[in-house]
Amino acid sequence: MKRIVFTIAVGKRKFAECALGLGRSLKLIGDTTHRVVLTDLTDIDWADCFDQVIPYTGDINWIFFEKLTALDLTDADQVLFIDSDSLVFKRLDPIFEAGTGKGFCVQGEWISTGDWYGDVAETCRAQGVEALAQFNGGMIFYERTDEVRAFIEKVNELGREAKALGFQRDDPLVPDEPCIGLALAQTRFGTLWPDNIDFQNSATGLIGKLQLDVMKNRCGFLCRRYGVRYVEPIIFHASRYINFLIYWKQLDRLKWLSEYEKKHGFGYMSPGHKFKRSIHKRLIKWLIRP
Amino acid sequence: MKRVVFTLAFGAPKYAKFALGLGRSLRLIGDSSHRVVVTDIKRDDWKPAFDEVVYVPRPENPYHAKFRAFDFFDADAALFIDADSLVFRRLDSIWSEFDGQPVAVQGWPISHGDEWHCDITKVLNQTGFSELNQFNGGLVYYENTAESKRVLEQVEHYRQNYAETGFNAFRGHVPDETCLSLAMAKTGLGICVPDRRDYMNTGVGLIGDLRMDIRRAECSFVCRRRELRTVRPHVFHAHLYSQFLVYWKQLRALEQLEQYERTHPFGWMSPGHKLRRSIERRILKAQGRI
Repeated sequence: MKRIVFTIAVGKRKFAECALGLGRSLKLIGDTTHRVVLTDLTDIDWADCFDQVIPYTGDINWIFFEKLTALDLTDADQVLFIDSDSLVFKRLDPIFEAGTGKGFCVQGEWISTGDWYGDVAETCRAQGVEALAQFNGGMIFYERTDEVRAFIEKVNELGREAKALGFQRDDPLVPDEPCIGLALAQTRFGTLWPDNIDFQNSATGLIGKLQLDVMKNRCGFLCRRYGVRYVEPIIFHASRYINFLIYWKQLDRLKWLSEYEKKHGFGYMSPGHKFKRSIHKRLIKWLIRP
Repeated sequence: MKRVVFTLAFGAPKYAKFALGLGRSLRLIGDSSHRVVVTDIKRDDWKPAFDEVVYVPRPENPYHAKFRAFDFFDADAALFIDADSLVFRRLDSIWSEFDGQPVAVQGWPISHGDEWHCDITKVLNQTGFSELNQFNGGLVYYENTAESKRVLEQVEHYRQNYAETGFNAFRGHVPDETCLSLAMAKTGLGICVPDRRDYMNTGVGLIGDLRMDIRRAECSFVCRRRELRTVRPHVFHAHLYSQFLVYWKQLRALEQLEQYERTHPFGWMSPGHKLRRSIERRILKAQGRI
């Protein structure tokens, strides 16, 4: 069974930097899933951390819906789409295992009130559904089956009607999340993993400090979403943290590690480390006599 | 299978505070087990820390009330956790390992020459067993099956005939642990998983600092029990530490987080956090990164 991680980096160069960060973070933790990037940024050295690069030439306003095109663009049996502005801290096997046989999965909660791309209660009434699947589109799992293809077609249909449905963003881009959320509600196909499964979290509603350190493989924080909770996600979706220095510091570190790997051979020991060993060896000889 | 994690809180108000700490800690880490508190203490804040509150009069022997789960609520399996405990890791691995067992605890075998509520040699001679399991009764699992009932009936038998076992009473009561240990030996049912599983630890024999911070889901320490070891338990049973400030500090933090949840909506961002984002966004723009 061929599994892939699929991401998109289109438009500004910063998205390439983000996607490289995602790829490098996966490489750093030893995740072996085949990594695929869909991009129009062709001057980037993607080979550093991606196994396959697919050129992008579509309509930018439809970019969010490109997440669901991996079955057409690749020969993968299982696809895990991850937003490029994400960092991965634990290997992805549990996500693929949880999704196997379920067709289409996202992580979130059913909501029937509140505001999410418009008044949720009103949308539910108008569309004749009890609730909408609220989730973050930064992570989507899907499999190669006829049912999934039909479901994706349904999502695309809703996407084409998004304006009429009242699903709009501040920019001209057509939002995928409410279309998928409505398609899940209307078809009852697919799985909405509960939010506390913690496959992905964007630290929305952060309380206190965001503990984020790729060098220590650490990502943990308290946040107030559906409830106050401590979270250690597999995937940290930077989302709004793309405007915080801490995220870019992680990207710098990952880049530095990537360069380190290119410049240093297997088992390289720095002169400083060698010097420390030399001193410690003498101390041990003097202080800890046999 | 309906699984319930439950605790008991009888008498003084401090026991309610302990139990609330336990329920809140489970909720904070996103554990999805159904939580029940059995108590005689009327409070209006048991929820949301607990999903269900069962009011019963204080039992004659509170230590043994932990074996009466199915008198209090309906379930297929029950995991008792002492009220003065805090949970730092989800209970899934405990549920998985104990699944299918009539009774399960964590501890180690003891035999002639050991001490546990008395000289064990005396008990073994009196009861005819070659060894017993020593464990802390702060974590006990059992199921709603005929086999479990056999073990629990035997526990009751030993409670009523405690003087004949050779064990000493504990604080004027018949302890639950010794009776359960004898019942497991008598029936040959149930398991005692090794202490190294670290499902629960009380910090007895602590060496150095007790590193405990509920806001970081962190609990670890070095202690000397049967052996000297670093421990990162799923459940920290405060036990002796209920008289230490560090434990009460965690209870206070949990209470504050619950208040925070009540007073802040989904995804709330503090003005300080917004200001920081604004400043850092400007820095990143000036650096040409976004």
